[in-house]
Amino acid sequence: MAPIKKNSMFTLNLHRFPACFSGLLTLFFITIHPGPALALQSHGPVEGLYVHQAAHVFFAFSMALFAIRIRYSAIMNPKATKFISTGAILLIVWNIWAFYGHILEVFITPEQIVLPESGERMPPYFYATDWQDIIYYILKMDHIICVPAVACFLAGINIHFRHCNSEKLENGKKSQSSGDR
Amino acid sequence: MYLPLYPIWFIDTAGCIAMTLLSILCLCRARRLQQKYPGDALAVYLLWFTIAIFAFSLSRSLGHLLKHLLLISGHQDIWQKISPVSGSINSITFVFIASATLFFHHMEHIITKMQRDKERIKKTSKALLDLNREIESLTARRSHAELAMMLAHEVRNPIMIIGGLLKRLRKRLTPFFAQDPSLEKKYLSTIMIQIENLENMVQRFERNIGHSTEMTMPQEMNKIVERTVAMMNIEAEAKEIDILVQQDKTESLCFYGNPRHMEFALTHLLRNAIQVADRGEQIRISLFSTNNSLEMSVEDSGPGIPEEIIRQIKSTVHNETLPGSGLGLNLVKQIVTEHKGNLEIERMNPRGTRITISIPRIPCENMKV
Repeated sequence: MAPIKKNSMFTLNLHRFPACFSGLLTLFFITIHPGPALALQSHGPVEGLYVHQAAHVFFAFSMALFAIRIRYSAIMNPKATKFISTGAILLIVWNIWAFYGHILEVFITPEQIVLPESGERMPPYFYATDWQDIIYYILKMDHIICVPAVACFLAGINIHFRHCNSEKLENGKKSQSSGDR
Repeated sequence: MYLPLYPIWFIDTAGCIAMTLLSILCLCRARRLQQKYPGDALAVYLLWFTIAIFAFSLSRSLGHLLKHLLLISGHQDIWQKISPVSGSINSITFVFIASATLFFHHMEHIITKMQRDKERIKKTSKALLDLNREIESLTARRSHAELAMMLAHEVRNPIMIIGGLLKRLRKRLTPFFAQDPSLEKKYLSTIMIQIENLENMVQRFERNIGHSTEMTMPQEMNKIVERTVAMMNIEAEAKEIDILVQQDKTESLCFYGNPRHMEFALTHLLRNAIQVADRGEQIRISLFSTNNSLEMSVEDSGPGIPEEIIRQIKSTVHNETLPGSGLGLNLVKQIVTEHKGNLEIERMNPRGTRITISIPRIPCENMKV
């Protein structure tokens, strides 16, 4: 009879026996008494709002860092950085604005928004019952903040573009004059 | 209290259109900037930033406009279904824009480093250009000097021959001049004097060329090494090679000579070492003093200079034209010899070369002079 190799998979290692045995026992009990695994976590609709609000917080936080860093950065023209940081600050304000808007929206009932039925000649309106509803009404006009923010970014990029062009022109003139010498 | 929804709808619709248009303009301007300056890291960053702004504006605006359209047309049920999708896309764009802006910190660091390196390269390029100009003028002066030496040598030979012949002629014509000594003075002596003058002139000419001292004054070797290493570090860094300088920083090592020439010699040795060294290797420069001399060695781990070239360089004496080694070591040796020094080349075991320059050292107090 051929001798069994020491490292063969058929070799019975006695010191591993308790671990193998307990594993097999567990598998046996799981098989005869099945239950819900609870592996997949279910998500309710409210989680969507939480994620969106968290995204607003993250957005505001990153904009705050960006505004500070670009304000004191020397890599861009100071005027351009001023505009871009103002845009970032406006977006921070917008995020706070929108964050509170979303919170107040939770308390608005569908009955408060009255839309005209087909054929009905009446303007759509919002029925405000308290001061929170009035704030919600104002917060709905968030474009007052975010449009100037994007306009500031555009102004900043435009200034940077013009600055780069004039710098290039100046460098070209300098190298030309040094070449003439 | 009844509040009309028209102001909200108007501001929302106009705001959505304005925001989309502004973000498109931002994107176009950033794209143009990036196309105009393709190597500019800030332009690339601004392009990504405006892409994020555009994505944010577009997702928001489309969602809002769609909402108004569906609500006006009485399709509230459709909006109820689409609303979570629109909100999710908005959240994703928030995260996208936030990530892009958070990256600005690293971008600023990279751009600052790039600007610093650019300045350094500019400065080094200028130094290299100056050095190259100096080398060109040095080579030109050497060629002129060699030509002048050759000319002096060629002129001296005929003068010597004429002088010798005149002396012999004077001897032969002694009886003739005995009759009228004034004739000898009138002709032969005058010719002899003129020949002597000519010979003296050639000697003076040779002496002046041989002792041409341009910009020779007390120099500090430590500073020359420091300057040259700073200049060559860019070439070394491109190959990930480290230049290690071993020197006693407390002790200044001075010599009498031309700093530009010595800088050229060291630049040449370092450039050769960088060329032959493999990526990631080290080049060691040692600067130390012995009794009366100052020694500087450059050690690399390249394949080594062939024995034949080392022999040729060793056997060459001052002012002799060296055979072309392809390494420019001939010029280095000439510079070292001009500084009354020696150039030693050793092949290291198993790989590498060590070139040692030793020149007379002077006390650094002379620097004040």
